[in-house]
Amino acid sequence: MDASTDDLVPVTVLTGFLGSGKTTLLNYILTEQHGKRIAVIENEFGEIGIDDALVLEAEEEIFEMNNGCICCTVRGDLIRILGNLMKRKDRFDHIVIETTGLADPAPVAQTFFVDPEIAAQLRLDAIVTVVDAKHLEMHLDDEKPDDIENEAVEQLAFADRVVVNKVDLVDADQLATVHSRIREINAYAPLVDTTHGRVDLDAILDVGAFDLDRVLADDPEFLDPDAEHQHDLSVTSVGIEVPGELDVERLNAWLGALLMERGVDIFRSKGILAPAGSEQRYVFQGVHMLLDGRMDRPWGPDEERTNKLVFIGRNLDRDELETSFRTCLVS
Amino acid sequence: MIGDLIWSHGLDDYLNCLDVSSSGPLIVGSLGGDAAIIDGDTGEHRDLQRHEMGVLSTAWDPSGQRVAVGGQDGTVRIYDPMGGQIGQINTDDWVNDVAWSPMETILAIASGKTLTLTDADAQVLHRCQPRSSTITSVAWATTGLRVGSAAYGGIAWYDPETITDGRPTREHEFKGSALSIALAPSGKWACAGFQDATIHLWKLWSGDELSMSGYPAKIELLAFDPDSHWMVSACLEELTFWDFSGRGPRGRTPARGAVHDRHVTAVAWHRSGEYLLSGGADGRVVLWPAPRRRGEEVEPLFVHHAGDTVSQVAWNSEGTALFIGCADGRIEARALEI
Repeated sequence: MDASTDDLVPVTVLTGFLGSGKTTLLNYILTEQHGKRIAVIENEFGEIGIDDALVLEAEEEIFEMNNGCICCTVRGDLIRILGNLMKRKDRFDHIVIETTGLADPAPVAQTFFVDPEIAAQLRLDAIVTVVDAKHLEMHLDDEKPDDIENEAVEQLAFADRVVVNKVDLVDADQLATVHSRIREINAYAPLVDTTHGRVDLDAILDVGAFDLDRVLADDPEFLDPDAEHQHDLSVTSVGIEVPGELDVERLNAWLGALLMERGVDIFRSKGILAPAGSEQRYVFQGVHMLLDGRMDRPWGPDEERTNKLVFIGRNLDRDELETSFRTCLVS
Repeated sequence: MIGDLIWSHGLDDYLNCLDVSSSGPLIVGSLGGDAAIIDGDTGEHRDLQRHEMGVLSTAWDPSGQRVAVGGQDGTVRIYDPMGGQIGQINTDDWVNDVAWSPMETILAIASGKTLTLTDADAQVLHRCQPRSSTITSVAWATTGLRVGSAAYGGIAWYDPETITDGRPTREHEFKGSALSIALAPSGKWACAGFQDATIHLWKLWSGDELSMSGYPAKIELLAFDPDSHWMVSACLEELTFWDFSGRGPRGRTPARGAVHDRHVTAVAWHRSGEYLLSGGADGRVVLWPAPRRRGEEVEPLFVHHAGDTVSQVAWNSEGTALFIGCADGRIEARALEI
């Protein structure tokens, strides 16, 4: 994914439970973006019809890639649909993929890393997760068998933006609780409160969440490591900031081993790094084991060489991650 | 060389399908939905009923008496060469591929996960049990007694004569998403190209199989020459020619053809097996000689610039002219001197 090219058509992935207001938000986007050519790909018949857009129905078809990476799954239906769509003369300004309420966002995102035809023409803009303020807690607390992920947790963990819908149905205290529950899982995705799916579209469209030029551009405030979690959570966010320069060989070995051993558990990763001997920053972002990275802009003359990494995933141990990462520093 | 323009015609959108009948006419279809039968010599055309959302598959029967057209709208129509409709089959899914049996008596239709077999007048003979994922490609064994469907997990084969409960007669399993299928005209080999940058092949029907990996990306184009000597595969900008003569490609270094600078979209062997045409997203149409030996870098005979992304290439039935389909919906017939 070469995100620097402006002629790539942006793709927004819209996830969220049935009833969260996904389709209402989608209709709002289509109404507000009147005049723009938008194509919508959906995997289930929504509760509400969709107007004013080319709507393509597809049956979700998940493939495991035969590349030795057990978490590398892609969406075969999207490869076919997007492939045909991009061959047509009709150019779209934006594509929205609305997933089923129970969908795992990983295969959708990984499709953009894995298929060269898609990566050459489209850019994954952001995963936007819509939640229902009144029912989110119930979904998060829904007990699942050990080997099954709670989809509500997963959709929040993958999100680049979280739209908290139906805030009129809860009071201020309840809303604060909803926010903190989301933050416990995903500390970095900006939250957008709304009713009836009406949001400032600049907050969710063309945000460039997968754009390497904008990795951690919002300069996230790193979590206080001592912040107490109110819930017994397996999926959390970990942010690490370590000043200094990195030994490139040791860094490659560390990152390679981390993604190989823990890739299944690490849903999203992002980072800005300071390799020793380079005047430029190195930026990367990844979904599970798939990583996209490159050299970025030069460090400023007075800029401190520092490394910032963000992981969202299951059973993450901050101390262990930070300690092992520090072994990559040039001593 | 690729020479003067003989005729040209335009459809509404991306020229997605182009097949030439053994008796001369072409069938063409676009992703906009236009479909037409065109006289190969004069360019005179007869428009067919449109397929909303696009034409995905076309096939002439071997003698050129009937042509099948399938679309994203789930319908397949069978026409005579004058464009008269013989029959129609409705399905619920995209019709990704259609293929006539060598004896012309059966049409195999891949729509969604299901393979449907009809007679030449579009009467359904069998609806096979749906596969676990979408069928991307179908091909008949040269005997005409067996038809294969490619999907995630490999090739499932069906024998129309003995089929009863819609189950496959035989399965060639391989983990991965098969995107294309090619059978050697000799009847000895079946090949499939995969999303995982691999070609897997099976020696029919011995159970012997072999994988060819190391490609940089998915493999969507595979084509055997008429002598079953070379099989060309296209991956991104490059062509690879595998030597299938004698004992087959195991342990043999392929020949390569690297002229395109964007991905190859179409290939077509000349009826003699001595030449290959390739078309690419770079707008080039390249005329290649068949490789002389394994491992060589094949030098092109001629490079033509079509002025737009090339989506299809084909030879006329005599092998004396060529047809080029483009992303803007244009079809050109050009003279050929070789």
